[in-house]
Amino acid sequence: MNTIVRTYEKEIEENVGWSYRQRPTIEKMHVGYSSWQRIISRNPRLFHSYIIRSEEKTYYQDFITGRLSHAVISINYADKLEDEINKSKYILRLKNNWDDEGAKKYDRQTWEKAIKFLRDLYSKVIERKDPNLIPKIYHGPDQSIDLFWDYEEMNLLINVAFRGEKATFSAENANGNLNGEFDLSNFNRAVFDFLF
Amino acid sequence: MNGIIEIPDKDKLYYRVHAIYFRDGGIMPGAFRERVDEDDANDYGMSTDWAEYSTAEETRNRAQNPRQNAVVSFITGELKTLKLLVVYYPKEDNPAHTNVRGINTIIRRELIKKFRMEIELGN
Repeated sequence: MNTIVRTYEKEIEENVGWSYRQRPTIEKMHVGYSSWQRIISRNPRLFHSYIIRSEEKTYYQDFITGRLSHAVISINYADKLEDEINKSKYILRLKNNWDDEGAKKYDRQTWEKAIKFLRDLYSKVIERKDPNLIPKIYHGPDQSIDLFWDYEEMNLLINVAFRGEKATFSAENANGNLNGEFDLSNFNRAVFDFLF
Repeated sequence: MNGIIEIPDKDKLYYRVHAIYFRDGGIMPGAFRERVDEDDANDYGMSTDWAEYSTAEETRNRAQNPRQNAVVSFITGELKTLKLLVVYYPKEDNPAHTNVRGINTIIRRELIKKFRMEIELGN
């Protein structure tokens, strides 16, 4: 067994408790999304992965025998949501004139308002429909916050305004286009059921 | 002269995108936004340059930090199809200056799909 394979073996054992020596044909395990992404990103030659709804199926190539086996792994997508929320904290670090053209910095309250809504929407709608659909969280125009779902099957942009409780949205999915505005603290679940 | 000249549908409009709008390998929808010139209340909209009077390079060089900016383009006719108002508004220091008005959440989601990259970031 060469050094590279030994490294992989150690990492897999540490992160998911799956021993390389077991050479499984099918394994079932639960792992946090972040851990799994870390393993995949560090071992691109060993793993080929793609996401099927809430389940990630990963093919496992035995380096020595060339035998192909596979594992089915349940992913905790709540971790993925938290990852995106943490990544979005860059917005709070933007200082006045962050675009070299005089843009103002972002208000923490606006960010918190957007995150509170997102957690609410995720637990009430997304998690139940398709937990893999996590948005990117970006700085928007005029100190607003954008939540952006850019997926093949659906495209949705929600803009949370700097002040007030209103948000606007624009969406496109297999059912068609839908645009409008809503109250962040009292949104119509039926609209989002349609979108997700 | 403001707003009198009609820009042909086939013509390109160049738009500068600051590095801070690039994340996750692409441009975010927030890059497309309107601004108001504090010294001229009639000068408002998404600030672009008409390709008739500017190159993409010149558009980039008008930035405070050109190396921190990419340049994308839109076809005027495509913007008009989205019901956006394209107003040629030349200025003393920029004869190509053109405002695009009507940017909102719906339009921003559309613009993300319609721009063409002219000068990549860092080039």
